[in-house]
Amino acid sequence: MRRGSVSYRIVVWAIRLFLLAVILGLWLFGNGPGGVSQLLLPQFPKVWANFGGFVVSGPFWMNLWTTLYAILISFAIAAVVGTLLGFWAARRPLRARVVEPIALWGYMAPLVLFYPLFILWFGVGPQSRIALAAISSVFPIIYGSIRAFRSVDDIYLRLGSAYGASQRQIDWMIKLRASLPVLSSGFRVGAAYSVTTVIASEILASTNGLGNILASASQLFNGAQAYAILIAILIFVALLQLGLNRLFAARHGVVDD
Amino acid sequence: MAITASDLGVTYHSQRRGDTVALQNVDLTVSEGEFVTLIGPSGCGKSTLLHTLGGLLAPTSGHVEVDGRTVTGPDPWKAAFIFQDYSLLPWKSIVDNVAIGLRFANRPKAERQAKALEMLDLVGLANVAKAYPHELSGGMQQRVAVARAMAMEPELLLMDEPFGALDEQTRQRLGQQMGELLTRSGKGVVMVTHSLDEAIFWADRIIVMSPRPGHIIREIHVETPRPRELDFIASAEFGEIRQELFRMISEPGSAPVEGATRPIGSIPVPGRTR
Repeated sequence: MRRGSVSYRIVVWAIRLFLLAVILGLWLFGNGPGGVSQLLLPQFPKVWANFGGFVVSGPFWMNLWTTLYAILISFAIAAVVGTLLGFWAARRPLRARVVEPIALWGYMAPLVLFYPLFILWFGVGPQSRIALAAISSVFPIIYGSIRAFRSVDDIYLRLGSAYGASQRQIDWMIKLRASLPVLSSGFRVGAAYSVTTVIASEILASTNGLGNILASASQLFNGAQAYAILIAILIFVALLQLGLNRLFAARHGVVDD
Repeated sequence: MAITASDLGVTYHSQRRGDTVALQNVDLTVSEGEFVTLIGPSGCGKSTLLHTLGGLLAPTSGHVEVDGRTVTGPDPWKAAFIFQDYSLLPWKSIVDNVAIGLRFANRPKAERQAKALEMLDLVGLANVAKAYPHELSGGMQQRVAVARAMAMEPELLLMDEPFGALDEQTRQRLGQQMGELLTRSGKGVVMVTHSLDEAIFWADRIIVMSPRPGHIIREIHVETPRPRELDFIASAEFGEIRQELFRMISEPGSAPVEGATRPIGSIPVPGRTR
């Protein structure tokens, strides 16, 4: 069975569906013979019913849009700013030396702790969440892009100058393109930080967004609805991931192993 | 087009190891259509000399002139490089790789495509124009690199151990093909090699270099006209030159050269040395 062949893909998907079925099986077991409290683990049919009722309703979509908007804007800001900063820093060893540990520090630090300050600065609206998510996700992107640009093999740069490329052509057509595989891993971490920060800050203080309706559902002990929202968020994240994969797909025969 | 290096010197600066004189007092003229091979033990500065001739490296002293004008940087329209590691861009198709120099020069797309396809046809690879580098064998990739250089219509090709990473069979076959191609095109060539057989087989003139600091110790003219058949390897001239090179390069104090201590036809295959 060859990697990438149709039968291989069928097997991969069969295993994935099987794992999903196992989780569902455990859930149903917990509901029935397992005897887990309904407060902790709501009946699956009730959660399912919420998908038909609440999740497809107008207010849900409004909240989803609020969250998606904050994630996309904050990620876009972080991607542009982070890539440019990383590119600038990677140009000189001295700059890279200075910036890299700072980026790594910001990457590790739980910046969500600054949320109260951001609310003071930007108010409780989406701006404070966008700003916080952008700052959280810019650090892994800076860190990743410094590494990405420094990882570009010299032979490609030498080829560029040997065949008459201008400095701009070397930057855009060679450096940026050659660093894309490493760059994309920084983008993935950045996107994860954007998603987490936006939803977490919606839970902490907000009047709308998926995090907010999740928090209200659990505060009202509406377990079935909370679970339905949680699952909706997980599906939403999976779709986001699919989008990122499309964006950074290793096209044109670059083997991405 | 003639290229002249006068009193060329290159010194590498390193904070840890101090200065290394890679090249010193090198005078070399390559005339139009001439095939020159550079040979010598590793570390003798032959690649440094090639890179300096093509403007990829700035000399520390002396200068390189093309038709009387000092070279300040690479000009692929005059002298195009062919590297040992092929240096094909993995994200570009073969045809786009061949057209890369034209792309950098912002030539229109139709012109680039036409020129690249013409050159691929010349090296016998028109059928893989739409493939990507990783789908091709080493020998094919190097032919793509030759096509890429030819697409610039340079008068001089600068080849840095172009067949160094290939296995012996591919190397011989490709050598024969490229030799004919280059001779027909009438282009001048400077080729770095560390194989005695390659150095003699291809050359109008062999430049022998010695290390620390790198300089020219000998020039040998090969009289048999190019392109040569494979049986040139069995000729008296080839044998004599080979013996002479062997003696010169295996003199005490000089590092051994690839193939110098082995019989003809059993040149070892060097690993990818990038």
